[in-house]
Amino acid sequence: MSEKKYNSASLIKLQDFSWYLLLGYFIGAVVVELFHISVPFHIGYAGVLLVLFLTLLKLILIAEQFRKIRFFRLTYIAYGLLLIILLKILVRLYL
Amino acid sequence: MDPFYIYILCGLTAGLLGGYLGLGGGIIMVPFLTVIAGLDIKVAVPVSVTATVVTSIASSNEYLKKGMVDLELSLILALFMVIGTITGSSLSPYIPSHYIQLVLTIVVLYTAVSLLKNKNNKGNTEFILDRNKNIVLSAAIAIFTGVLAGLTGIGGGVIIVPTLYLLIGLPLSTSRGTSSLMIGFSAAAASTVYLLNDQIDFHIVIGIILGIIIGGKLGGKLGAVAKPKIVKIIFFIVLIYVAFKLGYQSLAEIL
Repeated sequence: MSEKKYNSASLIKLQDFSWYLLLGYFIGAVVVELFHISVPFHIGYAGVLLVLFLTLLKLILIAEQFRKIRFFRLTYIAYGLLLIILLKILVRLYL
Repeated sequence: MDPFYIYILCGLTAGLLGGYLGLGGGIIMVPFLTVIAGLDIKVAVPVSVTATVVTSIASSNEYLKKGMVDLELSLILALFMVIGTITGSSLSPYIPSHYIQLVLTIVVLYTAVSLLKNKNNKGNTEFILDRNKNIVLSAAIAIFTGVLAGLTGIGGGVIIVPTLYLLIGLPLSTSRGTSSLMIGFSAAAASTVYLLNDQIDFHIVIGIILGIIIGGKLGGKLGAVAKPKIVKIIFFIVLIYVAFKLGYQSLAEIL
């Protein structure tokens, strides 16, 4: 099985980091929302972008880790996933 | 009570129960937001899929640490599930709310029944089937689950976990771990579509995500020390009630 060779330590670290980053960000966002310090739209929008960005980062990390252990089929699948999402964005923006 | 506090509470409840019972959270969040907070399902679904991405980060990491994620299967099936979620979330603006609500009612009923049927037989590796033979069927199920997830805001674990367990033959705990990782990718795809369509209410998202981040962590810890049998029964009753409310509302609109 491929996962025996795959070193998931970096993925775990990235997800741990993501969790703390999102916790900090959304605590800040809730404080801002409760005290009406700023416009919540931008904070919420940036928060969603951050969540999506971290997921894309996760995909790239997985793809590169599989490339490192020369498991190219899964590298292509991971980038394929990324490509599908990016294509959807491009189609929605430009068509 | 300020609706914003209700959103935080909803996120907390979804995270706690989801983490405790091993559910994604979407199956709790969408009915909660529609039945209790009184939001339209088309407002609740984009919020739920975005929160599901966050739930996946926390839950899949716990499984990764224990080596209970089949990354190969997770990526292959996520590819098909993402196609489904993009289709489902793109179709959402064209389908009337009450029809989506009716589909959700069926999913909630299915979840309620499967929750009670789940005998929690961990680590059964006796019946590893021909993985390649069943991968085509599993991919088809992943597309179908993706469409459902994109439309109704559920994560999809309630369908994916039994598929991985029964069709592919993964141990139950690995099925859960694999499902929790792939759901994050499919939910991110759905969230992207909703973001592009300007369908995400950012005011609600902030409260829900904070609640689910904290609730999910607490629920996971609680699940590790306490037996969820009584909670399962209570949750079953709540789900049946929610399904009745959702079904009644949607059928009243349709008929």
